[in-house]
Amino acid sequence: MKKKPAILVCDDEEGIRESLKLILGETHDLVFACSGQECLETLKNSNKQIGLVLMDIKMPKQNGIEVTRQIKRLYPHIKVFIVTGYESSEIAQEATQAGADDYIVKPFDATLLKSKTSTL
Amino acid sequence: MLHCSNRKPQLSKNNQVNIFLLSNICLVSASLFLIFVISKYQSSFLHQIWLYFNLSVFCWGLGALATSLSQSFLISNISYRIGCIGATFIPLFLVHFSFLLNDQKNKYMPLFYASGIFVSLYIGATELIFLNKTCSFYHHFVLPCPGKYFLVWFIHWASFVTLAHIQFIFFCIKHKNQKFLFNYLLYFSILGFTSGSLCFLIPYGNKIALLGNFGVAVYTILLTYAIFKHRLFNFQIVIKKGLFYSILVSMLLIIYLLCIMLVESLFRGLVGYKSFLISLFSASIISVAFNPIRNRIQHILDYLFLGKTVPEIASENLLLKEELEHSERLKAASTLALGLAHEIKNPLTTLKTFSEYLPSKSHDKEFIDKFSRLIPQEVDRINHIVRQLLDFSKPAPLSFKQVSVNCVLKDTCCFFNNDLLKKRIVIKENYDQNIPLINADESQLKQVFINLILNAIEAMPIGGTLSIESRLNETASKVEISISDTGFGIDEEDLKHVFNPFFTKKDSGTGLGLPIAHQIIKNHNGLITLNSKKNMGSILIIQLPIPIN
Repeated sequence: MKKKPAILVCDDEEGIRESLKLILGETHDLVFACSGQECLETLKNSNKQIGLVLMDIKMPKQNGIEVTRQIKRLYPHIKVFIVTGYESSEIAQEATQAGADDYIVKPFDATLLKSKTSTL
Repeated sequence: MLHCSNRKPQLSKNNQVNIFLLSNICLVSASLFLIFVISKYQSSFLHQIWLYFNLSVFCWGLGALATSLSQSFLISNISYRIGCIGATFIPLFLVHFSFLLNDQKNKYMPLFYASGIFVSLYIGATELIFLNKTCSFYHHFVLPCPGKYFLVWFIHWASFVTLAHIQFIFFCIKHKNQKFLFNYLLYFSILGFTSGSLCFLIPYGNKIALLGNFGVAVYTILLTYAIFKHRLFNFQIVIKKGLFYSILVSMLLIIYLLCIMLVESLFRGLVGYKSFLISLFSASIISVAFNPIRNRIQHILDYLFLGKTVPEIASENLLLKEELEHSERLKAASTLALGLAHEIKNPLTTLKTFSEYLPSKSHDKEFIDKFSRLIPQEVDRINHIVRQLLDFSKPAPLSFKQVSVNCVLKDTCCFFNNDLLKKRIVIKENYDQNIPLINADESQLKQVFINLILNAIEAMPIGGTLSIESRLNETASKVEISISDTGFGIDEEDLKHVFNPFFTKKDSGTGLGLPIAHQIIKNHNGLITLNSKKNMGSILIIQLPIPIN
C-alpha cells in the first residue's frame, strides 16, 4: 500500500512522540522534532515530502503558534494541526489566526486523530 | 466678678481653674475634627454649607480660646471680636443649611448674609456691640465689655437659630421613619444652641456662661458620631473599624487629660503650691487614680460602638488577616492548579495511548520495553505535580532545604504559559547557571514568584514582555532574581505603600500579594525592592543570601 505523505511531529515530550508513533506509525511516515527550531530545519532539509505538521504549543524557546506562523509563511501547502493540552478558546483563536488548520486537545482520541490525518 | 474699667486690667496669677479655657480647648478640638471629616468626605453643596457652619463654630472657638489665654487687652479685644464675627455667621449658615435640607430655595438668603456682614462690621469696627473698655473676668482673662446694641446682636443671632430649627422640625416630620434625626437635628441641636447662647452672658460676668462652650463641644462630638454611625446628611464615609476605634480612643484620651488638668488645678487651688514639679507629680497621681475610670468608660464605649473589647477586636483583626492571607495563598494555588492541570495532560496522553494499545501490542517487545520505561515515568510525573499542588495549598511551617532557584523559577513559569499566551505576553528567561543551591523553603519561594509574576501579568492587560532573570552576585554573596514587566507601572507616590498590607489599586485584589512576598523573603534573610515608572513598567529585585560554604 502506498504510504501517505510524511507527518512531522513537533513535540518536546518523548511520551507524546511515542504515543503519536503508536497511533500513526503504521499508516504514515513519521518524522520527529523536539523544538520549533528543529522543526523548521527538518522542513528545510528533509528529503521526505511532509504534508502535515502536528505541532505542540508549549516548547522551549519558541512556542508552537509562532512556529506555525513561520511554516505557513514559508510552506503554505503544508497543513499544521495544533496538538495541545490548552483548552482555552483564546488560544484556539490565536492558533487559527496563525494559520493552523486544526486544533486537537490532549489527551487526544486515537480514532479521531486517525480520521483527521486520513484525508492527507 | 467682672471688673470693667478704662484702665489696663489687673490680672493676678490666680490659681483657680480657667474653665473658659478648658471649654474652648474642647470646642476647638471637636470642631476641628468635624471640619476634617466634612472636608474629606463632602460631596454636595449641602455639605459645603455644613462645612462653612462648622468653620464659623471653629472661628468662634478659636477667638474665645485666644481670649481665655491672653493677658493683654488688645489681643483679647481683637480675638474676642473675631470670634464673635464667627459666631454671627453660625446661625446664618445654619439657616441656609436647613433650607437646603428641605430642598427649598430661600430667596432671602443673600439678605440674611448681608445682615451678617453688616453686624460683623459693627462688631469689628465700632463700639456699638462691644466697647473698648476692659473687662477682666475673675482675674483670669480680659474681654471687651458689651455695648449698647449687644442685645440686638443676640436677638439677630437667636432669630436665625430659631428659624433654622423650625426648618429642622419640618424636615424631621417629613422623615418620621428616621428617628435618629429627631435626636441629632432637634433635641441635641437645641441643647447645643442653648449652651452656645449662654456664651452671650460671659461679658455680663456670669460664671455659668463659661460652661456654654462645653455644651457646644459635646454637640459637635455627637454630630460627628451621627455622621459615622448613621451617615447623617448622607455623608458616605468608608472608614476602617480600626481607624474609627482609634479616633474614639483619642477623643476619650483628650477628655481624660482635660479631667486631669482640671482636678490638678482644683487641687493646686486648695493646697496653694506653685512649683511646676509638684504640679507634674500631683497630675501623675491623679492620672493613676483616674485610669480605672477611663478604662471602664473605654470598655463601655467598646461595647457600645463596636460591640467588642480591644482584645476581641485585635483577635478578630488577626483572624481576618490570616483569612485574607490564606485567600491570597488559595488564589496563588488556583493559578498553580490551572498551570498544573495543563502539565498533567501530557503524561495522561501517554498513559491513555499506551494503555489503549496494550491489548493489541502485548506481544511486541519494542512496545513492552517502551511501555515499561515510559508509563512509570509519567505516573511519577503526575504524582509529583499533584504533590506540588498539595504542598502549596496546605499551610506548613517553614521548611528550609537546599533549593535551586533556577529550577523553582522555571517550574513557576510553566504554570503561566496559558495566561502568557492568552494575553500575548512574551516571556524572556535568563538564568545564571553558576548559581549555587540556597537554603530556602521551596513552597514559600514558589508563592513569592507566583505572586510577583501574577502582578506582572496583570500589569500588562494588552500584552508586553515579562523578563525573568537570575544572577549570582559574588561580591555580596547573594543570588539576585529580577522579575520585570513592561506594563502600566506604579505612581511614584504609591511606591512607598506597595508593601503595606491591603494597599491595592486593583478593582479586585486583597492587597496582600506583595506584603506576603515581602514577609517570606524577609524570613529568608533576603531583600525585595521595587522600581517602577508610570506607563513604563516595573522591576522587582529579590536578593537571597548564599550559604557560606
